[in-house]
Amino acid sequence: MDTQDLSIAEMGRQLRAGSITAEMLARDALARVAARDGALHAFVLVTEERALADARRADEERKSGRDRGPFHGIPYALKDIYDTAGIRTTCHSKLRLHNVPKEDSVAAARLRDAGGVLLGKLATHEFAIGGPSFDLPFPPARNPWNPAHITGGSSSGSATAIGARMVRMAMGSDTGGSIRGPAAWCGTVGIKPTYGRVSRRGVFPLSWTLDHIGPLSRSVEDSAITLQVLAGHDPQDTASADVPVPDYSADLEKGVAGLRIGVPRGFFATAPAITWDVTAGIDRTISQLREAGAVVEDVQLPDYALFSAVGRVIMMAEAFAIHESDMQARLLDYGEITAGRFILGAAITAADFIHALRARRELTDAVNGALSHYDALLTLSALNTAPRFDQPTDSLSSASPIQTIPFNVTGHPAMSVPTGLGANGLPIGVQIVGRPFDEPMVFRIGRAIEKLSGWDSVKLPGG
Amino acid sequence: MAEAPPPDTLAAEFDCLMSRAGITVPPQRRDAALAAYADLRGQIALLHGRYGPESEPSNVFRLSPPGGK
Repeated sequence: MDTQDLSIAEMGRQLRAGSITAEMLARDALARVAARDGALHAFVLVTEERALADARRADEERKSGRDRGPFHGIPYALKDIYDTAGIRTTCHSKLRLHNVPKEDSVAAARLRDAGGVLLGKLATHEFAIGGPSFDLPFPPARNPWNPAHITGGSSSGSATAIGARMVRMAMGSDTGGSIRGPAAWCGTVGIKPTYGRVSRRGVFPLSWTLDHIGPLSRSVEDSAITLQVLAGHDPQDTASADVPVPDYSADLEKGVAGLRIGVPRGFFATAPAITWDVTAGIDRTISQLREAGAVVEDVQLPDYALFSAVGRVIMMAEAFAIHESDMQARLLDYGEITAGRFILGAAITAADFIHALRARRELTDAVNGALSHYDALLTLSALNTAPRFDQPTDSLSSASPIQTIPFNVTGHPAMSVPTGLGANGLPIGVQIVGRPFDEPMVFRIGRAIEKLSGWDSVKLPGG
Repeated sequence: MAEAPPPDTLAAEFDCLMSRAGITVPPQRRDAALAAYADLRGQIALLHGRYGPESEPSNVFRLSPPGGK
């Protein structure tokens, strides 16, 4: 078996048993990157020397009896908006092409301290918003299931690297769906934890009050193990929550019997962009959950359009505040899509922004209200499968087939899980939404869907 | 916010906002930017006239005494 088909937990078991080494895992992953990334462009920088040094250190530590835990010796990669000490961090932008941070982001430091093996930095839409674009310093990542198709964004390289079996886990960020969207379109798991669950410090911001960071991975269990490393209070991140960290793997195999799951069908049922195979996919998932003993019912939430409007106004206003001086002085150094999106922030008035914040309170209360009756919500991650690069789209329009922004507005944990392939052979997925800080329930339901859907037996690209 | 104004008025409004923000939109990108602004304006209209004075924004904050919760 290829080592990249071993789960993170299984890699850990074999590392502890001595049947493989961290250096073997790193070399296998680097070889896969070398073989496949020329066509897929997941990586903007491969840190081979660092990877081999990390791996050898992990092997030496293990030989000397030091075990840093389940991530010790595991290869991973970082979206190129995560600061990495001494390693270029570009945000996929001309504006930060020569930026070399002095310190690691908190997430990078936690993964390093857990014994992880850094393979490199991954493609993103510019500043986690502008793409896919061909006018940036690096090409856009391509969908591993069919390179003529886009990945979704903005954690594009992260999804590509996992979907192409280069690495089991890669970090992304999610301000309106940038983890869950590419996860859905590339057939990976992707979780946006509760706002405040994982420190954002050292990750370049897009919108402070909507930004979440989290992992994309091959399996739900991989994500649970990774979140165990990442979660925890950071007093230097003003949004970080001082909430105890539970065992994210403890409930994975408990199944869904007796759970109550609400489906906000109004979000997607009549959306013009929805395709029949995606509708059939979520209906199949609902049937499987019911057969497994869950109570699954439709639930009413406010209109999706209101969530979308609130998210966009907040995101554009906050993003423009971050980029104001560069937009004034260096607008043409941004990619055309990025600049076109950021410009909109200059057109938002104070009253517009305050009304969005008032609506945010209403919408958060509405989701909390629904979750007082249900253990979790189930909805779509995306209305369709990944479009082709050459499919005409209005990249500046609010219309998006990605259905994820409501839970950036409200901060609830939400995870995309693949459930099968659409009519064109590209992945489809569903989204599970939990109560604040109830990631264990999100993982539990996600793991059940993973098993019920038979995703484990789907042949992956490059396999 | 009122319903979308006629195209000329919308364009003048957009130009005014860009000028106030110090943003120079390249002429070849102006049509796309203006269309995006019209789209955004439609979304913003959903937010106006929705709340009475008792509805507070999500960032209203609460102070705690030292050592308090």
